[in-house]
Amino acid sequence: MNWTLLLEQTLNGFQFGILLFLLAAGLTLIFGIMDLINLAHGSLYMMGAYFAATFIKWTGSFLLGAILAIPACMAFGMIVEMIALRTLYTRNHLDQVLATFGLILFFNEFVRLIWGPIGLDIPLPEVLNGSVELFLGIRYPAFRLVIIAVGILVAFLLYLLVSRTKLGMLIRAGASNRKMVGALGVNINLLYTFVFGLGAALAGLAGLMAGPIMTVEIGMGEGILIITLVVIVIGGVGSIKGAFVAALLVGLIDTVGRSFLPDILGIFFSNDVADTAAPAISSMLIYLLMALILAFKPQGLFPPRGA
Amino acid sequence: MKWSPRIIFIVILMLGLGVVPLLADYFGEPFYTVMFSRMLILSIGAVSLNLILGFGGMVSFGHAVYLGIGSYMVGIGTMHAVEDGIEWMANGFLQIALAIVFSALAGLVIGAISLRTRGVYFIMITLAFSQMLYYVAVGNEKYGGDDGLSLYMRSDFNGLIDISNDNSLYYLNFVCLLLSLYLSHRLINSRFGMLIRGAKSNEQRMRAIGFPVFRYQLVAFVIAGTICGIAGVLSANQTEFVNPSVMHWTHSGELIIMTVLGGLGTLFGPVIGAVAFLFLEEFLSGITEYWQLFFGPMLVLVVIFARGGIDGMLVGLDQWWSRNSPVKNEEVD
Amino acid sequence: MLKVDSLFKSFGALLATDNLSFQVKKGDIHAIIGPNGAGKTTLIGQLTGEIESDSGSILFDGNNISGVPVHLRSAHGLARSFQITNIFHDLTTWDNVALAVQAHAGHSFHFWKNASKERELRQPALEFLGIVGLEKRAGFIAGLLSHGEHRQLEIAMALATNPKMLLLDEPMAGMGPKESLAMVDILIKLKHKLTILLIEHDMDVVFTLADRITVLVNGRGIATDTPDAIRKNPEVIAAYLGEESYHA
Ligand SMILES: Nc1ncnc2c1ncn2[C@@H]1O[C@H](COP(=O)(O)OP(=O)(O)O)[C@@H](O)[C@H]1O
Ligand SMILES: [Mg+2]
Repeated sequence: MNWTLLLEQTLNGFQFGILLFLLAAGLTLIFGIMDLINLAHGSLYMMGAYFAATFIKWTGSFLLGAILAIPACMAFGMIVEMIALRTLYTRNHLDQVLATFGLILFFNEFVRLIWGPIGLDIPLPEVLNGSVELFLGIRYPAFRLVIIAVGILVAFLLYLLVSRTKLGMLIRAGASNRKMVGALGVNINLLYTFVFGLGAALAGLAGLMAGPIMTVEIGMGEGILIITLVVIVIGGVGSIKGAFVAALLVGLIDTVGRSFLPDILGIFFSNDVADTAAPAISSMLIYLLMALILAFKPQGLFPPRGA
Repeated sequence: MKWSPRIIFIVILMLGLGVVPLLADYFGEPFYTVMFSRMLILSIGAVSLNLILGFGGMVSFGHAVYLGIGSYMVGIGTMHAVEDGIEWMANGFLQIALAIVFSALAGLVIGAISLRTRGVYFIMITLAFSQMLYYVAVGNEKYGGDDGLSLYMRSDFNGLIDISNDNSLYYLNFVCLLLSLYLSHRLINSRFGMLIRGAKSNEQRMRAIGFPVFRYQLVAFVIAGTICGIAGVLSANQTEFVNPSVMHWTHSGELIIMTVLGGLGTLFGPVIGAVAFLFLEEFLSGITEYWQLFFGPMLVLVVIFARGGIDGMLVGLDQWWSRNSPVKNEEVD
Repeated sequence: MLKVDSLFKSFGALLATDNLSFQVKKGDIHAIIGPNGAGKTTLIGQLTGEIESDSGSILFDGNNISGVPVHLRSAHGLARSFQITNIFHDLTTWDNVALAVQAHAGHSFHFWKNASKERELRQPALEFLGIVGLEKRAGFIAGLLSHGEHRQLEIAMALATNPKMLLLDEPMAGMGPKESLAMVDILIKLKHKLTILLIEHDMDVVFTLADRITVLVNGRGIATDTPDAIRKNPEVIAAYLGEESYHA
């Protein structure tokens, strides 16, 4: 076994898990509070990447562009919420799925119209482009470390927001009792729009950080959306803590599985079998994990209270 | 049966579908035979989805998987027949049988896990499993991986049916659609169907009056998948090409759209929806390259304003018509 | 017929059923009374299995049914009506009852024959509709019936499962005086044919119909006795009846 590779892949898995968490946190909040299943969440991730690519080009500064992209994404999400999604809160899940599916089609075409069919690049500044020595000569890309750090910071801030602030209290109360929140005299429409904007900002952040390591292209949010759905199902729909644990779990298993499964299978089967079966099986891993967890806990690891 | 605008519409639609190849040949536009052939196949897929979605209330977001399974049975069989000379593998009856077996198996496994959950979990899990099988197909280099397989011949039905020309394939599709409609009709009105519909209406009550709901829903899930698997066999023969994108989740989404657009939980709704969907696609993409810019918002509007789908509008038309028809033939049952 | 022994159920910190024990004799109408929130509906849920008990045992007709799934308890002969109308709103009244008949007419893996033409489902269903006086409404979509008719339909559906014992959760709730009288007539018709556990707030009804009464307060059974004895029981008067007459 190659320990350097294992460490590197573990960190990669961690970093992927962080991206998943940023997406899952918003999605699970929106579901938990507004009871809305939003397939277009991946589109917000895509918009985050496109906004960032554009702003970075305009301003010539990575940091400035990235920072501008987040409020842009938030505003974008809030507008979408007000125009299209608000009427869907009281609808059944099938209606929500269909309408947000329609939004995906729209956003993909919209991006193609504005930015063209060819993907964009987000160039990294010098400082972030290199790699950092962790220890014992093991080096790791600096930008991926930044992603991990930012993700952990955001997770911490989110935790503070939800558990320590008045807004967080409203969010938690809204999840369990929307009538009560209304009775408290809080403008529930405003609260919902804000929560949706928050989710959009997190998705945008994930998108803009994913931009430099993957390509910024149309439909980039769809593959990762499905994995995010797996994450929130495993974690328990509505639970941020569940989203965090499940995101890291899924990120690690997916990444590490992909790079080591051929070796592991090679121990038991001929190399031929291992090489042909490994790609298929490794792409199945997280779904098998999901099936396994649901077999024992149909509501996920951290089921919402009262359900 | 009483004639009403809705019934007349459906009769004309079905009769029209029955003569498409004749008209297409007459006008020298064989392209339309192919286009309508696709409609028929997707109609079968939507009819099968409607069994669980429309009548059973199970929002499966992975129904295209069975189209994929059926397609790959043809693709794989034909590949071995052509490349390795194993001729019997191109046999259409065998391919259909295998499609049935594997679709049923997939339905059984996916259903057994996802039906333990409800609501949004169910949607996400069916979606996730379909995506899993999609990636299996993408990762399977032996059978074309991402690029898929081209068919060098269509399935061979022992000379009983020769589908090498588009018109005869069209009629095979048409007959299969009629069969699937008849099957649904029997199914939804049987005791089994009553149970499935009851569970959609009020599952808690079904348990309280003593139904073990899970096993019936699972069987419905398997039946729907199996019918769709057969549609997959037809689909591969139609396009003479098989690739993973047939089971991509967006394709499952399209099947849902067709079903809802036509009218959930009505016998002919899915057919109407599939025809309308493909017409719309054809029409909009003829106008602009960015057709989804209009199709997406249209979908949102349909969801918000036209909940009964096209069939629902026809029912509304019927009501308007019977109110305004000169002979008041009111009937109370 | 029914023997409940030290049953418990808590929702978080709230004890909805607190060490509850009582017996129901075969053929009796056994009433459960108690203020709102006493845990009456919860008790019925526990008896049918829709709510899982924390501990305690339920003996029904000689079988220990604790832990048995809902649909099997129904097969044992336990049927309920719901306090809040719980029917198939989009099916016809007749279909509603026919489904209940179907639930106990063997398995439902019949894929071909038209169920709405099967006499062995439709005929009994119509008879049960007759018992509750709904036969004229057979062809109507159930959701469109009046509130009182919904209550009657609830009973018809419960009866159609061919039960040994009926659990009725406030069958007269929200009914006008005329409808209530009709419901009392139905209950009188059923008396002695099967065992009935009746939850009801109308004390006149309870004291005319019931053979025995259990008083439930805060999840605890404070007395189980004949109507006369309950009426005179000082603890009951203090905890419930006194308050009731006070309000009246
Ligand atoms: N699913 C539940 N979760 C939490 N508390 C519940 C639940 N169901 C009932 N309760 C509580 O249990 C108590 C008993 O309720 P219930 O059985 O409905 O009373 P009753 O039918 O006697 O009016 C009430 O305080 C109620 O709020
Ligand atoms: Mg109650």
